[in-house]
Amino acid sequence: MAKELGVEWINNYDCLNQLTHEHEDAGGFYDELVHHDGWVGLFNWGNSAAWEEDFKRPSKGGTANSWADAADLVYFTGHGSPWGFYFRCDIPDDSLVESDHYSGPTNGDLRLGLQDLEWLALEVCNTLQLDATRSGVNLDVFDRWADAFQGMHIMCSFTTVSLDLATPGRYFAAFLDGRWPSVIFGIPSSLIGRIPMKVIDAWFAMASQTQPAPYEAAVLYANTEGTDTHNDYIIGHGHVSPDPRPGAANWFSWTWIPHAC
Amino acid sequence: MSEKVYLFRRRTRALEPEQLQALSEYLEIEGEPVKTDEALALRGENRALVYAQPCARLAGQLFYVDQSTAWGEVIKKSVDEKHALDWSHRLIEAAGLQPDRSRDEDQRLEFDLVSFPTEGVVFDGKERRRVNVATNVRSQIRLNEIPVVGPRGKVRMLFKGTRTPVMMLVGLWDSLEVYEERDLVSENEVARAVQDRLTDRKACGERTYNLNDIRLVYFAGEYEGGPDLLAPEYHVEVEHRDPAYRGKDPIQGPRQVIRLPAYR
Repeated sequence: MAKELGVEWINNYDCLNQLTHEHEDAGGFYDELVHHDGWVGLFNWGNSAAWEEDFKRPSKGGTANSWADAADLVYFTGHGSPWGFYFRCDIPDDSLVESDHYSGPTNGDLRLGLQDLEWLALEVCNTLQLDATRSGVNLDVFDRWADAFQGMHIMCSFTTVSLDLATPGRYFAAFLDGRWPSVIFGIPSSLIGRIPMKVIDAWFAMASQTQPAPYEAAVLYANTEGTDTHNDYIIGHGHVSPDPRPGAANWFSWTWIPHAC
Repeated sequence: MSEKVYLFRRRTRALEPEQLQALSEYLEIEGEPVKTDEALALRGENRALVYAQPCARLAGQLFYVDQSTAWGEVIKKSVDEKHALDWSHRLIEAAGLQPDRSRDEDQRLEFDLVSFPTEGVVFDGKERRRVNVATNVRSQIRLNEIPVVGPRGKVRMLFKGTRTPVMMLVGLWDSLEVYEERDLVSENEVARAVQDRLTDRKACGERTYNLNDIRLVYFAGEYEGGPDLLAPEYHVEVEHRDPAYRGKDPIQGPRQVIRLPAYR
């Protein structure tokens, strides 16, 4: 089975303050899995080449079916907020991959897993913040992101701010493919082998290894009858749950888990 | 006259394979230690323990993972906070990883561990339900009243339902010595520096961000060669106006932490 990934990153914002390390952050993730774990790199788009429409559902005019939802694993790094993650203002289609309730209750851009995507990692600030207020109404993480799960397993991000660093992507990838003793601690793989970690565990380990207190990472995952996405490893390193499809059984649930860095 | 602040040189312990082996008994890992110049490691069936030796990127960090339980799994009951705290204290003491409390008046170190529960939330399409996820242990370290943070300046333990943690990160030092005494940059100067950096010529002087928070910390980041310094820096949190938002009521915009040196 082909395992495919994509990354997008933005340092050079035109409508927000610049960031510094996002090319190394996303590039490290891409390099580790493509060069050391046999993944096919579908895309590595940065700055003006990173387009919001790559994540937007086709029913809103986006091309997620050709990009984000054509890969198994996607990593984005740039600016974020509870309402989504941000691109430059001069790219197609617009500058924000918006959550539901941002411009309308069901007008969110993300509807992922209809095609292929299992895991979406957003190395951005605040996207999985539990509560966010608009016009005096609390719109929690489920109001904002539940409908994004159309077969997608797990969304990884932060509830708080996080530092702009070069290492999170490479470390997350190394926890996923099990090369972390070598990549992070310098022990040759020939001496200790690979120690792959589950997707959620890898995200939390990366957050603790790179980000300071009092910042907080989080994951949001979906399950239904016959699925156990919280036990997922990436392809080739252990169990991968069947896709949780809304409406496929008489129950469906979303679970939000925070992790103090 | 400017306030002064110290930059410290940190010294990290070298650990012997026998010491790692002794620790592995606390963590119930069976295996033979692997030794390189950079690290010591020990691997069991679902568990691994690694210590980064002096001069390695994460020098002084002990890191442990247990993959027999999913960290994101909802559990009926996590271990009680007192057990988690006591276990963590015992482990750090057994490993000899507690930072040296110098009698030197130049370094007033406060080191505490606290434990607390973590709850998640499950939504079934109708109701939100709070659920048990883990018991956490976290350090509170202050050096001359300034918080110490970062991957080599913290203790983090994550316990699920079993008496040993599923994740452990102990990033500490053996001893510190004053490397330099420098002038502390004031918060006002930092606020001005951020304003200079974020001024938008196109917006004609209009301010498109809010300054949410300024924190002075010692950031214990990765070792990058040269003297292994613990240096003070400011973490300034700014919140930008959302460039895409067309609504009238204000909403939370994208936030960013800007790091600036706290000394000159």
